[in-house]
Amino acid sequence: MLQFIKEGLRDRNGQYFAIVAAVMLVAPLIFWKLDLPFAANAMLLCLMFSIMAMAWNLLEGYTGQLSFGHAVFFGVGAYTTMILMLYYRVTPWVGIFVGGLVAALVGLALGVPLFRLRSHWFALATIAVGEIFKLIFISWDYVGGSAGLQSPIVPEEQKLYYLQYAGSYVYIYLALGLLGLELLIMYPLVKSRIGYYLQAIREDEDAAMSLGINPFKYKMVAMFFSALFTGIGGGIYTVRFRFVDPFAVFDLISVSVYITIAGILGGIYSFIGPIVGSFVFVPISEYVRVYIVSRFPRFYGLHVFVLGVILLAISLLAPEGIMGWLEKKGYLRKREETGEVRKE
Amino acid sequence: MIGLDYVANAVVSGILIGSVYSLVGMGLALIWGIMDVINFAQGDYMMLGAFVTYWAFTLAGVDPLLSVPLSFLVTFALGVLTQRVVIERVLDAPMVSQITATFAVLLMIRYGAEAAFGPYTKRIYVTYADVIYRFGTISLQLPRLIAFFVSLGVAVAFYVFLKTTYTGVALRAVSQNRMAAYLMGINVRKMYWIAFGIGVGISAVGGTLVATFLPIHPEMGGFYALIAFIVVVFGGFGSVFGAYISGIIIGVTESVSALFISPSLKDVVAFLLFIAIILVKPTGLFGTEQR
Amino acid sequence: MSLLEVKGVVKRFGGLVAVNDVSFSMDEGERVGLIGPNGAGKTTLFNLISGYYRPDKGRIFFDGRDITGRKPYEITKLGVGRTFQIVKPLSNLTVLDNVAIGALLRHPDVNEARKRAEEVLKLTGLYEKRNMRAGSLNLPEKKRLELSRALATEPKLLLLDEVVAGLNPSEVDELLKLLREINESGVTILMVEHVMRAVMNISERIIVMDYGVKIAEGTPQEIASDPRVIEAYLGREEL
Ligand SMILES: Nc1ncnc2c1ncn2[C@@H]1O[C@H](COP(=O)(O)OP(=O)(O)OP(=O)(O)O)[C@@H](O)[C@H]1O
Ligand SMILES: [Mg+2]
Repeated sequence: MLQFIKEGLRDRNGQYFAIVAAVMLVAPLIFWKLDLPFAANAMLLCLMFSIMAMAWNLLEGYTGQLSFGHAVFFGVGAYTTMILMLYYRVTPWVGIFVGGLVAALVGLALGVPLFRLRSHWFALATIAVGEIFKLIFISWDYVGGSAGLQSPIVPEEQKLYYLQYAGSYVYIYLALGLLGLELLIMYPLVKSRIGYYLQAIREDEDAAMSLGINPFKYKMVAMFFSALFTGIGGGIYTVRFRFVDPFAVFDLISVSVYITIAGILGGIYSFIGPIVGSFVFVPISEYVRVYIVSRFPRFYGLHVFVLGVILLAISLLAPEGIMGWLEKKGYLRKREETGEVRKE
Repeated sequence: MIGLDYVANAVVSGILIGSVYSLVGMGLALIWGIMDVINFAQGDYMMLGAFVTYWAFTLAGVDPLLSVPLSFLVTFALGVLTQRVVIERVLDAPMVSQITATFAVLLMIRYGAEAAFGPYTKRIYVTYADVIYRFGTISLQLPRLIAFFVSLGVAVAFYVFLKTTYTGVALRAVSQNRMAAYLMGINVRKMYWIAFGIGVGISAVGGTLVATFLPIHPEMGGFYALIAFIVVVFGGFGSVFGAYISGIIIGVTESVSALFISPSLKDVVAFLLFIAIILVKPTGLFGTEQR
Repeated sequence: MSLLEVKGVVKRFGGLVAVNDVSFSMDEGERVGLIGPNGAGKTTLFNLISGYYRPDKGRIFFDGRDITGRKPYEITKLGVGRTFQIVKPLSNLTVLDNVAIGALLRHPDVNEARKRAEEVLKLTGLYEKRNMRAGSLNLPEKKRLELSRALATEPKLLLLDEVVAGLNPSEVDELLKLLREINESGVTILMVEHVMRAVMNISERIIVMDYGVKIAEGTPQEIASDPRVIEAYLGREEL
């Protein structure tokens, strides 16, 4: 392990990673000391969306399946964690992972019909699925119907068991841990045979099949991990806000489209792009939402309008996202250099 | 047991509302067929049409029927602008960019309108709103009847436009073969402006008509976009007649099924229907078979 | 026992019968040419053998197994490699990765597969371009990439759909030499080709199709003098 870390630090990217990780670990302490709840909350949301956008990008960036329905997995993860906690007294330390697994199973079940669809049709169908889940949860009494579910405040000695803390500070560490877990699973995954196969499917399914790849099987693999971590993101939401309702967690715009924008803004052809995208996009949107729309409710909708402007700007000016743009401008090492041999 | 007269009433009112769905679907199909671009914002241009009518009525007392051309022209202009500023630049871009660009337009229109007009439901009260004709057990609300005939008129006019005018013929040429049309001296770029303008304009007329008998809201476009997609998928591309009929079929299906399905699940059925349709018609529309 | 056996396959597109009751078989180690005018049904026959289309009638056996209706990736795993006439590079990946993905079929370890891919690229002459985006290659190079990728899956039978097209005469000779080497290493080859010099040169046996029907089969000499073949070609365009 120590050897691994030592070697990692010798590499340039490893050093950057270490610096960023250190900043992330210290930042919540600073926010707490200086009493900056907005910053802490924004950071938590950045991490939550990083986890989900990276998961989403396994489907879009790697596999070429554009989903506008990740709210389904987010919502299922959030509800599962909540129901286990509320009805069965299961600690969210476990519930979050069960939530992820249930979301992954839902993902697999949806994959069976949806992966028969190509390009636009897949995207359209995922929107429809998202709406279906919202409507079903609205009229499903067991999960609290349209009112949703709220977990009560617990006494001091149960705080750890039920993961209940004031503000976002503690949850930042939870999210950091889960993001770390995701990186540990996703990175080897995309560097393995599976990662190559997913990219082959993205580029051309017919060609992929001629190379012995079963597109459906590998799309399902991508779906599993994509839904798993998006569901885990939903679990973080549940413990932090202690309240889930169908309108919030299954929302097309503020969940599915948010994830999509974070991913695209960061750059879908980059492994860490979605994290970068989340850390740029979420603070902007939170700022507008909290400081402008909350103060002037008459202008409700303005924050989403701003999202639209951002999304339009990316798709017209830098469709390859921030990471792709940096790469093109030569600020980052390119993945491949046309015409000449890559330095190893 | 549901009586026959209920069913008859549902069929008739389904035909009437379906004729509005036809307009929204026709606009989407036009843009899709000619440029191979899926305009996710289609329902939101329709919403704009509804609000043009609302403001013309509220501020200047313009009768909704007189605002049909107004709402068409305003959205037409906006459509041409969208085409020039946005769509044109992503025509040859990868699918993600195309989808995200029109999705961005959707967010800007829908939530821009919400920020501007307020997140409230609005209604127009025309003097003839409550005029009802009865034929036996069937009752017809005048505004819905008018909507039906206006919609029919627009569809016929659109058909005649496509078949007889130079622009119409050029549009069809462009949709069949962009390169050949270009070589024949057709200004393809300009045709695309017109196509997008007319496409969203026709849908906006649908918005105007809806505004005379249903409440309107800045977020109403989401529902109508879904309907438009079903209309297009169901009716096929490039056929005005197909879109018109399929809109009416969907209107009737919706209003008859409302008799049997609880309202809260009605939309679930609509979404499931949508997925079922595209599953049954899987690669048919875009799948390439040439290997 | 023959390696590939096609028995009375039929494929219709609407009213058009693209492949009409075609039968033939190939022994292990053979080099067979498949020729015919444009639209004769050659590519469609390839798509039937490699599983992209399911025959409306007839059966296909490979290596003693009935593969009729099997999925393309299953057929690849059994040992049928193919190229696409209309090239399908994995455009945004490097040339090396394109080929490595093929090699992953038999070598699940990524490093091992990349090594294999490098060897294949040295063989096919694309090694120098290994770090280029596959999409930025020119057409003859893309055709060679198709060949490299198919080779990397280590097939027993290789289906080549017009890989020679677009090459200049010396490049054609080079490629034919390569194909012979591949064949000598034990790979059976079925190739569609319009460049007559190339097919006549490399094939031990030639099958001729016209309007979906197999109209002749024999050695290059027999085919060159077969009146039906001459008519099929002269009836339309140049040889
Ligand atoms: N997916 C398809 N749908 C409809 N018709 C098709 C399809 N694929 C091929 N065809 C038709 O089947 C016939 C045979 O086509 P095929 O591509 O097999 O010919 P080919 O012998 O490979 O010709 P070429 O030498 O031009 O490549 C042609 O008439 C073609 O138009
Ligand atoms: Mg061919």
